[in-house]
Parts: sequence; structure tokens; C-alpha cells
Amino acid sequence: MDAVAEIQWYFPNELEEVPGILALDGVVPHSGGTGILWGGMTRIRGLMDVSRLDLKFCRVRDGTIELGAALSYCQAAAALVESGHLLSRSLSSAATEPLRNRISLGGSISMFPYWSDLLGPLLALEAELSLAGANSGTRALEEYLQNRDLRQNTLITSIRLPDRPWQGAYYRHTRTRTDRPAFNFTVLLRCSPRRIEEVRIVVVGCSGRYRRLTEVEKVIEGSEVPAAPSELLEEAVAQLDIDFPARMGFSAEYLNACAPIELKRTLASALQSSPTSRESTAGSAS
Amino acid sequence: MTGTLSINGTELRISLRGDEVLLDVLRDLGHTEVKEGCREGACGSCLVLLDGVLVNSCQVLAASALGREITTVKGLGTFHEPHPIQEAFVETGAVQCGFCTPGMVLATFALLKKNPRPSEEQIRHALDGNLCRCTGYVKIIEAVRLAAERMASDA
Repeated sequence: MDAVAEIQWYFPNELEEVPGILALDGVVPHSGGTGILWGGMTRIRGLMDVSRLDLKFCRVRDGTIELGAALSYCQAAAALVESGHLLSRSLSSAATEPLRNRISLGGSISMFPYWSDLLGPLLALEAELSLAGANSGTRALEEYLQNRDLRQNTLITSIRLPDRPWQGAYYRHTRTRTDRPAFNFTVLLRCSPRRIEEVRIVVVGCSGRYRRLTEVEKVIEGSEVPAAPSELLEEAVAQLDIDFPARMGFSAEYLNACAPIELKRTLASALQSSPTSRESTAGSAS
Repeated sequence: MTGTLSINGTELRISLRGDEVLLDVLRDLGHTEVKEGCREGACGSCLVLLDGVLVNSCQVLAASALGREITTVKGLGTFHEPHPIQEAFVETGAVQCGFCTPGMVLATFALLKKNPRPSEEQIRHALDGNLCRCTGYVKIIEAVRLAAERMASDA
């Protein structure tokens, strides 16, 4: 660990205390702490521990799933597992169990490493964030990621997802299961009996960190549900226009060669999947 | 800063720096059964239970553990009254150099608490955050299976 000056800790009991603490120089929120340790602590003067705030919950109401930002990956995956939600599957595949017990949703969003197993599904689901502090209010996740100013002196308190049924698949490109992925694909589909009505495809880990693959979506959206999808998927993936830098021991050439193949497989897997949504009882995670 | 840590049921008043990780604090307090390996959360040798939840102590800032219950491998059983998991590790020959063993035992404890009858795939999945440089994984998986059998028949 880097040598640092003494770090002050703050333990707010109420959300009302948060803006005042985050306004102090060099204070950042602490939930699980893994991202803070990974990023180094040289610029940190203080840490605001959020464990006493009520930010560990999963609520389903009015067609929306709301996840408390202090939920760990394991807790969030467990809260959504009954419905087979895509987010539950992606979070369960991240890192190892002891790390999933510490990595929090809010911390992972604010740090947004390129190997994140959280951001692809959240972007595809068009998640919104509830924020407290200097930028309090509700913002689209994508706006939060694009505008760094929104992260200043601000705490993510919850993540909101529309609770709609999707067919979906998630793919992470790793050497071994516990590796960080060099890239990952999230595919969501909504099909009527005959047609593919809606498609959302997100890649995380490419140049520029993430991208919605609209060029591929356009080919698939509105197509008939194919009995043998190979031709349609071939045509769609031929439109793929992304670039990968060398990562996680993989060369750029290798990743760029693998990506179309894996995207085609992920699309095929999504077409074969069953629609899922979060219909089980909401509650606090423990 | 100062505060209390409860370690294996014993409450201790301690002082610590705000940037210290739990691994260092525990070892400084004499809990050398918590091993220092990679310091990146990748090897599992520093595993402890924090309020009953399995964590890499090298990835936990100690200040965030104040007032909470920490269980190391020594909190599961004693030399004279070992835990069934510890017995199973000895009986199956799952201990070679022993460095990874505390983490393996705690990961097994966390697994069997949630899933008393795990499949081999589930055992492998639960232990995939624990590295054994002696590569004695076959015996370790055998030990977990034996411990599961014994704990299920004792329940």
C-alpha cells in the first residue's frame, strides 16, 4: 500500500449527514473497500463508511427493481436469483466468493473498471441511479458514466431497473473462471411468437471502455425469430465495429478475432433462453 | 483511531491507522494463523469470517471491521477439540505445507453453512478463490466431501 497521511473515518447514521461529509476535502465513500485499495489511497484524506446507512435492500414495486448501492455482489445476486435475472448470473460469475462478499454495487459503478461484470447488464437494462450529496437526484447510469463531474462529492444510494421480462445472455472472456474478463457481452432480447421485437447489446472492455452495439442491433431487431439463426447472426456480427486493446494477457489481435465469434455465440444463447424478470418477494439482504 | 474488534469471541480494544488492512492488524495481534499471501484478494490464504461472511482480510480496511465479529480458523476448533472440517483435512491428507489450509478450512466452513450437501462442481466453485501451491487439490476436495458427510450425519 502507498504511504499516506492519517486517514479520517466518518460513520454517518443518516443520509442527511452525507452531503456535509462528502463536501470535506478528499473524502470518498467506502462500502466494501476493494476498489479503494486497488486504486491506491494517496489522494484520500477521509473515508465515509456507508454501513450504517440503510443501503442494503432489494425492492420491487411499480414495475421497478430498486437495489441498495451498498449491497455486495453476493447479496444482489442472491436477491435476484429466484427469477434467473441476468444480473444475478453476471454478478455470480465475477471474481471469487470472498471478493463478491465485499465488492458493492455502488463502489463498482463509481470505479467502473473495464473488467466490471456489473456495468454491461446495467447499461443494457438502461438503469438509473439515485444520488445523494452534491449531485442529488436521479440520473441515467450512462449520463453518470459520461459526466465525471457527477461523481464529485456524490454518493450512489440505489440502482433502479425496469422490471420487464427479457431473454438474455452474458459472456465474459477470461482464461480461467476467476480471472477478470478482458471483455464481456450482454445481450437482451424481447421476442413475440414470430418476431424479435427489441434487442440490446452492450460490450464492456473495448476501446472507450463500453459501447452499445447499435449496428448489430439494427440487423436483428424486427427480424423473424429464425428456426436456424446462423445466417441472421452471421449477417449481424458482420456489422460489428469495435476495437479492443491488449488486456489481461491477451493481444489486441487475438481479442479482435475472438469478439465476433463470441458475440455470435452469445446472441445464439440469448435466442435459446427463456424470458426472466424479478417476480419474487423483495426484502433486505443480510 | 481506536475501537474494539471481537476476534474468536474475545473483545479487544485496539488502536490502528485509518489505512491499515485487517490482515495486518490481525497478524500484529498475534493471529498468525491468518496468512499473508498475495495481498490482492487472489489467493485466499488470509480468509476470515467477518460477521459470519467469508472475506479476504487483505481486502478489508480494518477500520470498517471495528465493532464486528471476526472468526479466524482458530475460532472454529481447538487442538484438543478440532472442528469436523479440520479433522477431515487431517484424515484425508489434505494438508501439505499447510500455508493455504486456514483459508481452505474457512472457505469450506462458509460453503457447508450455506450448502450442507455440495456437489463436486459446487465444491470446486466455492474453493476457486483459494490457491494451494503444493497443488494438493484432489485431497482438499476429498476433505470437503468427508466433512460434509460427517456434518450432515451429525446434524
